[in-house]
Amino acid sequence: MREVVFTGAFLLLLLLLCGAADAATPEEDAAQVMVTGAVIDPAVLMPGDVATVTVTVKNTAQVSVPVRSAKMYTEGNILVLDNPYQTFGAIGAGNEVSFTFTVQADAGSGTYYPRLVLDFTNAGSLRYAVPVRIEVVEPRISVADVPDAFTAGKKEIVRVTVSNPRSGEVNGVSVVPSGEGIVSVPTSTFIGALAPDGSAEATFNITPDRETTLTMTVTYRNGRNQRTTEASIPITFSEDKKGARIVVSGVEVTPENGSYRVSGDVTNAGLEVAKAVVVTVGSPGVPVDPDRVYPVASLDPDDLSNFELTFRAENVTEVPLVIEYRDTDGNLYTTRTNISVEGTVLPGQGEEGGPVPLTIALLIVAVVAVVGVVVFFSWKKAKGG
Amino acid sequence: MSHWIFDVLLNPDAFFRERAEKAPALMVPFILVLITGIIGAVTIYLSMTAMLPVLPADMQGLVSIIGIATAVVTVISAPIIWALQALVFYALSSFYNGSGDLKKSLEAVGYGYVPLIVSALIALALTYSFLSSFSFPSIDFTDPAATAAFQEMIQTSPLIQAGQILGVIFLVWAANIWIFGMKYARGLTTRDAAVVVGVPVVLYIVSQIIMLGVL
Repeated sequence: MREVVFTGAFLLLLLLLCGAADAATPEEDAAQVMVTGAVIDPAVLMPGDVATVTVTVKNTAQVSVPVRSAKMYTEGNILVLDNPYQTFGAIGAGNEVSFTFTVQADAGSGTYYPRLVLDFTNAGSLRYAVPVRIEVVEPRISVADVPDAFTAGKKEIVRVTVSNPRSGEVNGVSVVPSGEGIVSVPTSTFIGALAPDGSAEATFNITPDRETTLTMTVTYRNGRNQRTTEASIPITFSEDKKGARIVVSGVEVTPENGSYRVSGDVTNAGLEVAKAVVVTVGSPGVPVDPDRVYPVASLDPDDLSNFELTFRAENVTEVPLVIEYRDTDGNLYTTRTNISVEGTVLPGQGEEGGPVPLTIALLIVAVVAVVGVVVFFSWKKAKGG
Repeated sequence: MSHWIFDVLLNPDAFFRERAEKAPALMVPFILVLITGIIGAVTIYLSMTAMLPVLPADMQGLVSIIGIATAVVTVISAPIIWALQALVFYALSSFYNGSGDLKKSLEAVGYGYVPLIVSALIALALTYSFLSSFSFPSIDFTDPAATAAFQEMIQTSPLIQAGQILGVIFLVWAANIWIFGMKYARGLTTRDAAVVVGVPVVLYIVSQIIMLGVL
């Protein structure tokens, strides 16, 4: 008897529960649908960026909840570009459903709230404001290291740092140097993803052949948005403070066999080695054998070497001494120093070969006069005698 | 009475007229000739040794010896040239029926060397001045072209050219002395003596002028 009473009570409870379930209204069921998450890609937009907003809802009710539509509405300057869920079916009991919309930022910095509206058939609607952040700030590029001076044709190292001051990550970051008359090795550097407040460094060997502007262009993606930002580095040529510096001293010019022989010393007064140093004479001087050019071995800083050259020059007072040398990268440098040939005249051009100098001419005239007078008077005396 | 050197230089007619009556004495003329030769030898030796530094080491000793030999030959050849010169004048004067001892001709020609001593001293001074200011180039003396260019460079030097021009002028002075010397040494008229002396001297001067490159 006792078992019969217990079983009956249990069955009665079941009936009561079933009755209670059957008694829930559609509004009550719809109320069991809740938003469990919202994801925005990219997490932080930039003005003009296109992003996807994915909102996930879960039906925690025991029964399926019919949904007529899921729409996102533009709020402020967040434009909703599409609404693919104009019609929808139902969300099964315990199921999760994600609704993805495409939006575009059309505003400055700030947080905006486009709304998701789930329209339950005959049971009201669910409204959910999705926070979307917009930041105007871009990744920054800063020059970490540039040489004190650029020289035409000389390779120099330029190092830049790319940093991400944004709240969100940027991807596919790469740096591309460019500029008129600029050769860069490498032509670009790929950095990859930059986390918020992260930074990375890129190093380039830059060889300019003229004064120009070196532009460092940073390309990156914010979500699916490809963006660029750039920084300019002016390239102006000036004297390389650390480079080799050739100084000519002890120059002696002597006439020799119708030409000139010049000798002297070349000293590297710079801080870097000068390689393949070659000394010759430039126009209007004409190098002649036997020493048209004089190759000097590499000159270390503070090193010295002598040279000898032979050349011809006519109707000039000075000729340029041309010194060519290379740095360790093979870049060619040329320096010129004028040497005077005035006062070092060749035969036929002045004191040593031209017209007789005035004092000597006067001496000759005086001797001629004396001899003439002596001869004249000796003959006169002879006649008188 | 003035010194005989001034007489020779300024009034050769009177000097040789006085000497004509005396026996020929060759000591003084020989010394005059020898002095001329010695000064010439010094000049040549200076010129040759001045280029020693630019010569190769193996050639320096040889050139030094050649310089000494040339200087000695110059001294020795001076009296020989004197004698030959006197012989030429003596021979030429024979065409004008000249009479007189050869020694007298030698004596007359020797006294004519007084202006040539002055000429030799000036040449020595000019040569020394030239060598002091001249930078000898480093050339290959085995190269004929280089050697020729080097010689041209020296010969066209104003100082050297001036020495040669003055040499010609002093030679004219010496010829003037020789005319009066031969006049009395060989008993010639002044005109005949001028021809006897003038012809070879003029020929010599023309050759010198050609060497100077004027003609």
